[in-house]
Amino acid sequence: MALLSIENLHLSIQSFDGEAQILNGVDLTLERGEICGLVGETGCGKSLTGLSVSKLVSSPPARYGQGAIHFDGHDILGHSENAMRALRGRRIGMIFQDPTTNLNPLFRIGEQMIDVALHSMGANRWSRSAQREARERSIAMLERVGIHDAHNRLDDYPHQFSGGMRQRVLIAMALIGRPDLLIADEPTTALDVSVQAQILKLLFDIVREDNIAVLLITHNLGVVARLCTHVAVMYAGRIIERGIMADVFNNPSHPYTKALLGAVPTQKTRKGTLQGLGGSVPDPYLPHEGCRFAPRCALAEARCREAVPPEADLGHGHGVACIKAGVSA
Amino acid sequence: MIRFIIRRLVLLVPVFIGLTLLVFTISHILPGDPVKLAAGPQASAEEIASLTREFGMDRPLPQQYWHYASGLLQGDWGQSVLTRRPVAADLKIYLPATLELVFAAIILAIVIGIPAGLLSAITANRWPDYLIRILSLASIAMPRFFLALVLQLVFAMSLAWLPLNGRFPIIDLPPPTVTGMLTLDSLLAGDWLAFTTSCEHLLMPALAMSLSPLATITRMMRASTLDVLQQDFVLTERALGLSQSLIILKYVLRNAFSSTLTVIGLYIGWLLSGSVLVETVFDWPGIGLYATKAIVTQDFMPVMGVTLSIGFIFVLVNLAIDLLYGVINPKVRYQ
Repeated sequence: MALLSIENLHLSIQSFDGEAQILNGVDLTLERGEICGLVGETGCGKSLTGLSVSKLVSSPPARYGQGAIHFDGHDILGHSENAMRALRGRRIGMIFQDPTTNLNPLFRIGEQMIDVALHSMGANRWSRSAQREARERSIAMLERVGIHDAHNRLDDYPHQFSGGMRQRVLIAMALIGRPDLLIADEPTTALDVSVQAQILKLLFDIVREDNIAVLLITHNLGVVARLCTHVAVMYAGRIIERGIMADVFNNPSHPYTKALLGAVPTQKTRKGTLQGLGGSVPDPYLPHEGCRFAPRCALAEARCREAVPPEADLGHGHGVACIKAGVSA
Repeated sequence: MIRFIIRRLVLLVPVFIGLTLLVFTISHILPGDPVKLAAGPQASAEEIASLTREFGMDRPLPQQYWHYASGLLQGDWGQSVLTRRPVAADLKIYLPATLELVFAAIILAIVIGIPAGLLSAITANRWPDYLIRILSLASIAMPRFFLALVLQLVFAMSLAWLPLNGRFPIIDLPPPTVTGMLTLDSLLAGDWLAFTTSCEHLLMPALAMSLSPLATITRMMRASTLDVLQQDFVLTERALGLSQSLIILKYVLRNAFSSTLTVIGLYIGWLLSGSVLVETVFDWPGIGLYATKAIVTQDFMPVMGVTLSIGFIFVLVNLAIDLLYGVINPKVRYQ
C-alpha cells in the first residue's frame, strides 16, 4: 500500500463571492523513497493539496466534498485535530516558502526548535531530561543542515540569520522528528538563485539518506527534472498528468504539459521564439463541464466540453487525463 | 541598555523645565486673583496687599518663576493660598492614593482584558466573541461616573458586600505609611486585616476606572491576535504539531501583546489626569479631588504640583513601557 494516497479529492472554499471549486478530483500516490514534484500555475491548488495532507486547511471556510486522503493507513480527513497532531512533526514534516516569515521573530531559534523536538519525541514539556535531550537533538540537527556553532546559535533570534540560514533552520525543524513524508511548498522560491541550489542539495541529501518521501510543490521545472523521481502536473484543481519524471518529461502527453514544458527556455532558445500559452485559467466560481483545459487547448473538440476526461494509463504508472492523449499537437 | 536609561533620564530635565514654564505661565496669565478669593469677600485692600506680598505675588513673573523652580529642587513645592499647607506635604498624601487607584485599575484591565481579547480572537464570530464584543462596546460607551453609581447601588447599598466609599474606615488603625498606598503598606506591615479592608475599599473605584482601558485592551488584543494568527509562522508551528494552547499562550500571545503595550502606557496617563470623576463619586482622597478644589479657587501652587507630578509619572511609565518593548521584541535595540 502506498505511503500517501489522495483519491478524487474535492475541496471548495466559501467566500463572499460564492463557492469556489478549488480541488476537482485530485489523484496522487506517493511511495516511500519517492520524490514527487507537483507543478502547475499559481492558483491551481498545489498548496492546498499539500496543506490538506496535514489537514491544515481551516474549514470553514473550506469544505471537503468527495474524496479521501490516506497516509500509512490513517484516514486523514476523518481524523480529529488531536489525531492529526500525533502525525504532524512526527510522521509528516512541512517546509514553506518564505523563511523570513515562517519563524516567529520574537523567540530564539532554540526555543522554537526545542518545542518542535519535544513534540516529535512525545515527551513531557516540563521534564528536565526531555528538555536536555530535545536541546541535544536540535543541536545535532542544526549541524546536519550545515549551521556551524549550532550550540551557540540556538540562542540567536531569527533576524540574526540570513534567509538561506533561516530556511536551513526550518528544514531542521521539519526533519527533526524523522518524518516519513515531507511536504515542501516552494522551499526555495523566496531565496537567491545561488542559495537555492545549496538549499535544495542539502534538503535532498538528507531526504535520500533518511529515505523520506517528498511532495515538492514548485513552479520550477528545472528543479523537478534534476531532483524528482516522479512528477504530477496540476491544472485547475486536478492532476492532468503524472508518472515517472523521465516518462512525463520525455513523452508529455497532455496538451497542457506540452505547453508547460515548451515554455521553458533552454540555451538553444532564440530571441522571440519562447512559446507561451494563450488564455487564462478558468474562474473557480463558475460551474464547469468537461475538461477544464478545453478553452485553452488547440486540440479541443466538442466531446472535450461534454465530460471530464478520465485518466488513461500509458503504462508504468504514467497517467494522463485527456481523451486525445498521444495525439501529437 | 544602562546608557539608554541614563540618556532617557537626562532628557527628562529639559522636559521638566518646559513643563514648569508652561504650567507656570498658563496659571499666571489666567484672569482672576487667588489671593482675593482666599482672603474672602470682607477683606480690606490692605489685607489683600499684605497677603499678596506674603505669597510673593507682587514680584515680577520671572523672579516668581525662579523662586518656584529653585524651591522645587529643594523639595519646596510652594504653598496653597487657601489652606496655607505646603503642596509637597499634600501631594505626599493624595498622590499615592490616586496611584494606587490607577495601578489597581490598569492591573484589573490587563488581567481581564488580555485573556478576554485572546478568547474573543480564537472564537472569532462565534458566541463568546459576540458576547465579549458587546460587553466591551457597552463599557466604552458607559460613562465612568455612571458605572460608579450603579456599582455603589448594587454592591454597597443593596447587597452590602463592599463599603460605599472612602479609602479606609476612620475608626480602624491604618498601616504605617511607607509608600502611601494602603494595600502595599498593609502587606509590608504584614497586617492581613488592613490589607483586606483596603482592598474592599479599592475594588469598586478601581473597577469603575478600569472599564474603559479594559474594553480598549480587549479590542486591541482581539485585533492583534487575529492579525498574528494569519502570520506564516503560526502555520509552521501548527504544521509541526505544536498544540493549540502552546501556540496561542506562548507564541501568539507575545506577538499580539506588543501592540497592546502602547495603549497601556497611554492609558496610565489618561487615568491619572482623569481620576476626578471616580474619586468624587467614591470620596477617594486623591489628586483628582485635590486638583479640582484648587482649580475652582484658582489656587495655582497645588495645580502646578499636581500637573508636574502627573507629568513626571507619565514620562517614567512610558520609559518603562519602552524598556518592556525591548524585553518582548529582540529587534528593538537601545543605543
